[in-house]
Amino acid sequence: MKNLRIYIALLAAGCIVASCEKDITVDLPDVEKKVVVDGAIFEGEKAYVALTYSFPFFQDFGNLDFNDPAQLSEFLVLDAVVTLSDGVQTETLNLGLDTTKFPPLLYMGNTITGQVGNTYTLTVVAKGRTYTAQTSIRPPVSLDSLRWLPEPNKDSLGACRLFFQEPPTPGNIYRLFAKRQGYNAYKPVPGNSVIDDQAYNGQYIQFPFSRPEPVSSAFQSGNFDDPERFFWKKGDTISVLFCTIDVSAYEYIRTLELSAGTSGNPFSNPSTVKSNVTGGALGGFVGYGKYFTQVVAQ
Amino acid sequence: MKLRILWLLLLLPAGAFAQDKVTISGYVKDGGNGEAMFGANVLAKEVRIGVSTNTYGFYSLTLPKGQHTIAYMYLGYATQNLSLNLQRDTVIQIDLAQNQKMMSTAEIVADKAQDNTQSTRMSTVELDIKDIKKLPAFAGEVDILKVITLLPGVKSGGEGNSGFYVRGGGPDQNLVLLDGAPVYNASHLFGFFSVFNGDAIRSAEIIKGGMPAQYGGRLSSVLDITMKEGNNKRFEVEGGLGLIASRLTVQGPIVKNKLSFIVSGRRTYADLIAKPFLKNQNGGAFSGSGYYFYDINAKINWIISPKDRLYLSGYFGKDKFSFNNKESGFKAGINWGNATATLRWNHVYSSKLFSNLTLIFTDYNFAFEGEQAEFAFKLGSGVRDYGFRLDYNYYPSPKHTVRFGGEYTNHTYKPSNVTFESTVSDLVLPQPLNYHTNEAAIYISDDWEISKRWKINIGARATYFAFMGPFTRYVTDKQGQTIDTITYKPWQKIKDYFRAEPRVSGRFLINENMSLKASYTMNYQYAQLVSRATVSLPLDVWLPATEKLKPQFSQQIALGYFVNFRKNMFETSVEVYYKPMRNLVEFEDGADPAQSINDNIDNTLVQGNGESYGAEFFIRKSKGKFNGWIGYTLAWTNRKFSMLNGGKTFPSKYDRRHDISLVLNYDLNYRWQFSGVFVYSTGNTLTMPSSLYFAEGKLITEFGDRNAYRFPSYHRLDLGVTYVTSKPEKKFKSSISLSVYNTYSRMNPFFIYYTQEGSLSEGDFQLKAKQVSLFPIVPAITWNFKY
Repeated sequence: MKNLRIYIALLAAGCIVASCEKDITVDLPDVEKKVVVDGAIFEGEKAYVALTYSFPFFQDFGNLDFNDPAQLSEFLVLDAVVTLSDGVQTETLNLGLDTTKFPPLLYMGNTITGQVGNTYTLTVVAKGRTYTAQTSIRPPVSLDSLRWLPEPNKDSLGACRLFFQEPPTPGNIYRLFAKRQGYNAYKPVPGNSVIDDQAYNGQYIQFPFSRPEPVSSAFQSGNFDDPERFFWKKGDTISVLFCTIDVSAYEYIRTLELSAGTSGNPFSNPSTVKSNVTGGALGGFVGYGKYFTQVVAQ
Repeated sequence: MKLRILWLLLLLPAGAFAQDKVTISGYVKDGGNGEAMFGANVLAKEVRIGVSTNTYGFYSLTLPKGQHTIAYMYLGYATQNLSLNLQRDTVIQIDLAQNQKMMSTAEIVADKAQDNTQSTRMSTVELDIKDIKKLPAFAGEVDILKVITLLPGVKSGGEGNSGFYVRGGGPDQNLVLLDGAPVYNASHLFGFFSVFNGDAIRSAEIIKGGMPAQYGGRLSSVLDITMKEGNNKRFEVEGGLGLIASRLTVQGPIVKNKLSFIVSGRRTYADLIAKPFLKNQNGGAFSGSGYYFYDINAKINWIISPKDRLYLSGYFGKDKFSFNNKESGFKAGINWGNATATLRWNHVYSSKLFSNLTLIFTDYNFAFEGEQAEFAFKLGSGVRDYGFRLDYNYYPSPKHTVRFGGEYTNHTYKPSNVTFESTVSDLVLPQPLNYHTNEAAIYISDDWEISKRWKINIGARATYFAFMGPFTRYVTDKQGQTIDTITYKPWQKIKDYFRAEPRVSGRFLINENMSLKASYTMNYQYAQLVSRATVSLPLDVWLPATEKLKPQFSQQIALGYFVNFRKNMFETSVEVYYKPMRNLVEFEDGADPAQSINDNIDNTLVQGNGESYGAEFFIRKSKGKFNGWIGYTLAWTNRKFSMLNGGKTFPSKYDRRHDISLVLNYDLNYRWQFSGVFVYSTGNTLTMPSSLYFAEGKLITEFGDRNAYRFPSYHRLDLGVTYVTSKPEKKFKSSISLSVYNTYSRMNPFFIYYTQEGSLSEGDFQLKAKQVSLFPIVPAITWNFKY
């Protein structure tokens, strides 16, 4: 329900325009840094897990270059023992480099690949503490079609829409990743990338989705005015991963996106992200069933 | 049947004394316009026995047979003395004339100010609209709710928030009554103004504790607002031109002294408020956007006979906000409004028994509509009540005033109605889920003067609440996934609650001018406002108690010391209170309030406990050219929810240690009148972020303890001056009022938000906290007239 957010944004905008604003200094108490687990296992792929530390809200980064892994060491947990089990076999994940992700230094799997119906247990031992997370890979649901529709008065820009028949069994939860061909990696679609079938069970569904930004807003400055932002352009090859996830993963991602979307917004209640990791860590570990398709925008 | 037995019991003692006593009764009215006078004192001087009139101006006083001097008194009015030889029950209707000069102190034997020490009631303040109108008004609009928050124990939510907070309770714990009808959203313009038009209102009374048994259904307070009845002597036109709104009131007799009416309307100048802000943006891309509100109050008062009166009153108000973005083709409109109607019939059965039957209708509606390209949607919420109440006032002897009665209300809560239309989709949304409830109560109380020193008010209230079908319950598992649905048929009982609420308050008179009071009350509340945001918005929805949400419950113990000085020139009081509360309601952590399709909102709510305690100091001077009050509140209020803040106790949002308000008014002469208001309060609490982390390449905020941070303190000075331009002898009266809000332009915090500057990839990333304030100095001028 984006509508509510539009309304809130409107109100916020109105208030800010009509009133007086000033910078203030807020003294926050020191808090202990926590371990953050940020991992996934896709159907047919190896698992990967980024381990980082949380840091103070008003952290001064100096001139730290976030593109250089060497400079990130104080944020990364590099001495953890990370194991993954599918209930039959167990493997240890090793540190590796993947520059399409942030942070680029990740613990990666070697032998276990994601399979539909399996449940995966991740165990992280870091600084003497143990954290565990469990996720399962649910059967994927296929899409009927993808269609690009030009936006009125927007020349060659438009939104893309997906069409599918929602299965009659309740309890399906979906997450949509998309990318423009030729650009690095799949990203969750902007706004809410997850949806459950609570309101739509068994119906024929169509859904518009916007183009994900190549990097999140914390990593870019000044391109908010890009007229192509969020639009798919005529001629683009639009690739999507239409994924299924389990309930605890859904709760994690839903609250994560809710939190990212309302962060700093004075009109929303502070929202807590529901981590599916036990032991006091933040973050989550998510298994994805996946269906792939693509369309050329025309 | 039960009621009849009760009746007999009550009539018994009265019968026993009936032989050698007589009763005088009747109505006390304002001679100038025929308005009923609430709280006028009627005193038999020789025997020193007195009563005060009820809300409708009715009194009943039982006296020994014989010669009496009866004095009728009301502050600011000439006292009327009647010498009577009473041999039988007598009806005496009294018109009091407004006194231009101040009463000489010798004349005051007993007056309203004495109620402060003499009555059993505590934690109660009455405000006359005449006094409210003298104070500086924000943007020139007289606002009762803003004045109420200047009283100790009543806190304002801050600017842009017309909700008020009594003794640590939430804004939904106040029973706001307009001529007996509950008002569910008392604010216009996102909370900057209340819906109560100063020209249509006669008086307001706020009860913060020791709630009498005739009131119920809310934990924290009663704000009882009475509309004017309409002048039944002559026609009167009254109005005002202000910077943002204009008002016009017409009242007069339809049949002189029998039937009168009053109609009062108000409207803002739409374009002046919202449009300039919108027009300046992006070269008029938002034209077609705007905002306005209007409201109308109307009342008819018919004196059918000396024993019967009929009142029909109504309120209708609407806010309209529209937003139009030409470029994106996005259109949105927000409309909300209240409508209330009451029909009341006062009947005097005998000189000792007065009754009032009220039929009540109230409706609150909120709608947000949006349209973009081929999609259109509507999000609505609201409440609709139909009900009646029957109240009896019985005066068996001067030592007893007995009130009893009952009420019934049928509520329909519409927390979330979503409709969706699209030319390209045939998505079927389920029917909106309304909540139907029935609420009934009976009560009885006796205000009993045991001796000269001791007086108690003992009462009880019994309430019955039933949550009924049609309804669909979505049964969810621990993770919020629906595992089953239960469908209830219309009028099928889903859950009911039966509760008893004892109430007692007492007074011990130390001497004529000094008393100690104590009260204990128990309250249940069967509906709550579920707040979707940290500031109060019309988006908040009302939701009843259900089989999942238990009714809210509170107890309150208050102790008070009351002293009047200088022949009642100064009324002072100190009160301390302790109020534990149970089953308070909040959204669970991480609840997405927008998610209500095929789910029940109460599935995402959690309940917990709270407590409030504090002390209130109040000095009021109602008489003289120089009048006003000083209030100081020292208070604590906190909450404990097992599901929130890790189960740890946390301060409530409006937990403010200190609140000071100073209200002064000086009537220099006929032409000039000056006023000033100063307020200081500790800042509201706030939940602040504590740390950041990376997940999925995004920066995510982790929050610290709930409400652990405090805004800077709030303070403000308002000044007002009124100059009467007309001559005293002229019928056409006019005046100019100048008010200055926030005189020294204090940047009081409205909210704090954070913005990101720079970016992580360029090494200049920084988060900044920004404080937004709403109003700098706001001067306003209003021209008022009366004919």
